[in-house]
Amino acid sequence: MSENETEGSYERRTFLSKLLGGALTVGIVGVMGAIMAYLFPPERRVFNPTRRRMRVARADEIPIGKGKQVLFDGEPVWVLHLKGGWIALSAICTHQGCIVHWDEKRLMLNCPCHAGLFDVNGNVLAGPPRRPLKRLRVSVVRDEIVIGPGEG
Amino acid sequence: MNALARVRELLRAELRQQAPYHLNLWHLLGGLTLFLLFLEITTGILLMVYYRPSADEAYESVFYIINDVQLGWLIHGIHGWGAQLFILLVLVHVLRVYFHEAYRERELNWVIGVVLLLVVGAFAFTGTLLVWDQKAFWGIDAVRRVIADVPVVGKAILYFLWGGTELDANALLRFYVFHVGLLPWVAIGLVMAHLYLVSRQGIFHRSGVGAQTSGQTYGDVALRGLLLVVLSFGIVLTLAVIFPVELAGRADPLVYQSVKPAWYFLPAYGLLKLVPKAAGVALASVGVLGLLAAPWLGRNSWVAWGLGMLGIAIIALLAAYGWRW
Repeated sequence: MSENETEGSYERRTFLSKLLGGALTVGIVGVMGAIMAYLFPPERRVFNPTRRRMRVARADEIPIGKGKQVLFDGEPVWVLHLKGGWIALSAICTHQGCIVHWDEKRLMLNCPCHAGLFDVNGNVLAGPPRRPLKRLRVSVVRDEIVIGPGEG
Repeated sequence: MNALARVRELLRAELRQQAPYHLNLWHLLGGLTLFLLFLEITTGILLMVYYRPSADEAYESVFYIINDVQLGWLIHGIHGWGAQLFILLVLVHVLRVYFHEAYRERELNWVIGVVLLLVVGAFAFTGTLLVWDQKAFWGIDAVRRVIADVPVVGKAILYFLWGGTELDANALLRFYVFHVGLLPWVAIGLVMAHLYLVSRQGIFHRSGVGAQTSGQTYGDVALRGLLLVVLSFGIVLTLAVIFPVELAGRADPLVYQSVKPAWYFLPAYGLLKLVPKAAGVALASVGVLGLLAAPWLGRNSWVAWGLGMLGIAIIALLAAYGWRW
C-alpha cells in the first residue's frame, strides 16, 4: 500500500463519518422539532372538557359599568362589572340563540334579533324571551376575574 | 471537552473490537426490537400528554390528538404501526432463535424471551382498549366473555384485570395502568436481564469454535444495525402516513359490533371458534407452556425442527380459520 492510497482512504473515511454524523444530526433535529410542534397545544381548540375555571381579565382592566365578552367552553359569556360586584351571564339569548349585547348606558342586555331585553341579573324585561339568561359563577381571585360553570 | 474525547476514544476502541465471523443480519433482529421498544415508549409518553383515561373523555381525547394536535395523527400512527412491526419482529426473532437452536445452553434466556413475548402481547391487548372506540370496546368485550366462561378462576381474573365483571370505566383505567404504569417496567427489567445474559453467555454458534476471524468489527455490525434502525423507522413512518390509524366511532356499550381481532391474535381467535371456550383456553395455555419448555423438548435437532414446523403449521391453520370465520 503506497503512502497516497492510505491518505485517500483516510480522507474517504473522515468524509463518510462526517456524512453519517451530519445525517444523524439532521434526523435528530427533525424529530425533536416534530416533538416540540406536537407538545404545543393548538390555540384554536384546546381540549378541556372539564374546565373548572377561566381567567377573564385582571380586575382593574374592566372599570365599573363595563363588560367583557369571552368564550367559555365554546359559549359566549358576558362578564359585567357593576357597582355591587361582578356578574357572569351567558350571552346566548334564550329566545332564538342570538348573541346579546351589553348596553353600558342603560345597564341592560339587548338582543339584536327580536329586541329581547334583559336586566343585569339576566331576568327578562321585555321582548319575546321567556327564560332568563344563564348565570355562571364568577369570583375575584386575588387580582383576577375568574369564571366557572354552575349557577352564579 | 477532555471527558468527551475520552468517551469517544472508549467508544471507538469498543467498535474496533473483532466481532464473531458468524454474526449476520439475523442476529440484529433482537436489537431492532429494542429500538422499536424505545420508539413505542417515546411515542407512548408523547400520547400520554393529551390522552385521558376515563370512559367519558378517552375517545374524545384520542380524537383530539388525531384531528387537532399538530402532528398528533403522526405520533398516534407511529405508535400504532410501530406496535405492529414490533410484534412482527419479535415473532421473527423468536423463530430465528428457535430454528438456529440458539436456545441451547441458554435455557433461562429463552424463558425470559418467551415471557417478553407474552408481555408484548399484553401491551398490544391493553393498548387496544385505550382508544375506546367501537372496535376496541367490542374486541376486548369478546375476550371478557371468554374469560368469564373459564371455570373456577375466570371471575377472579376478570376482577383483577377488568376491575369487575363489566367492561366499563374501571376496566379502562386498569388497562391504562397496566399499559403505561406496569408493563413498561416489567418489559425494561426483562430486557435488561435478557441483554445481560446475551452479553454474559455470548452469541450462540452451532459449531462452538468462534476463533476464526473474518475481519468484521463491532463497528461494522453497529453500522449495519443503524441502517436497519433507519430502515424500520422509515417503514413505520411510511405506513403511518399512507395508512393513518382511524377511529371506529365512540364506544357504545349498548350497540353491538362484530370485531375481528388483530392479526397477531388470530390464532387464539381461531382456536376459540373451533373448540369450546374453556378447552380453547386450556389448549392455548398448553401451547404457551410448550413454547416455554422448547429448550428441553428440542434437545434433539430433528425433534426440535419437527416440533417447530408442526407448531407453525397449527398456528397458521388456526389463524387462517380465525380469519375466514
